[in-house]
Amino acid sequence: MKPEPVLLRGVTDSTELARRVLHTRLREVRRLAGGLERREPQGLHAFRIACKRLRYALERFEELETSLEAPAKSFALLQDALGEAHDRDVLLSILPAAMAQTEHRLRTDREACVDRAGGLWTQAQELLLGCPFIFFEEASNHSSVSFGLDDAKNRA
Amino acid sequence: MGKRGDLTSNRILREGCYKYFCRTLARSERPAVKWLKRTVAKERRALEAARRRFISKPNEERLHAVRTAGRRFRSLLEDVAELAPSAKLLRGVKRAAEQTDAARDATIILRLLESSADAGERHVAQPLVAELSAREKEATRLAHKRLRRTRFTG
Repeated sequence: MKPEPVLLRGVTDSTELARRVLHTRLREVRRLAGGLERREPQGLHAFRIACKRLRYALERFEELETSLEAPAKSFALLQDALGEAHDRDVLLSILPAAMAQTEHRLRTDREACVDRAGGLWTQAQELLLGCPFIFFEEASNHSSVSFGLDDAKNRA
Repeated sequence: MGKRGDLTSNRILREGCYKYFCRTLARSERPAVKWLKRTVAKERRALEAARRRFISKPNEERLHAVRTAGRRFRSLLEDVAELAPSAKLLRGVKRAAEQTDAARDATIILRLLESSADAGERHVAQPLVAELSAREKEATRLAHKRLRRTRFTG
């Protein structure tokens, strides 16, 4: 899955650079979040890769803005849960048919990983909402509405 | 236009070789570019250091370190591609990741199979365990061979 290009025309300072990158990566994650709801392997995989990109961007820009530390940690946990689900999907695809008990165990564990990821995704969104660095009007034409975060904001 | 002329204009912009990438960044006084130059150098050094550690003594942990450093560096290059195009460098980082994919995949799936196989079904899993072990060993050997020829020093 190719990453969404980050528009950096006119960027002069590192804070602006960080905001544009984070906006784009967050938009990408939101766009692919449906994969988590559908729970199917391909959608989950695409969502996991997008989360990974956002996590790396958050960690990279922590030195510029310390408030990014909490969401970065949250995304690391989310990525772990999604990674564990993915590993089980890969093993299930090559598991011998005669291993029914093991298959059942792997499927149960996989569903538990996806449930855990769902909770962590909600938590990560709430942490992002408490991060004013990301939500601003000037650096981009996108308001928080474009990320579909208004519902989450109302819940919080 | 001669060969040199091609190299210093369109081709370099398209290929984005690392030296050109550094020179382009060095010319700019913009704070964003200064920060970017520092960050790119730091992450590139981290990847090269991880590669050297793996080459000196290949093991699962060191392979994981190469992959993690590579993913971080790749993610950075993709994020800032518009500000600092680096197609050739990005291709090199992607290739390094691909060279380690098979080894890491085999290791992870093998560990998961060993830890999750039902006691009554372990005998059924044996051929798959043997296959994954062989695949892990061969893929690690290949990753070592290929990464020995790769450099991220610019």
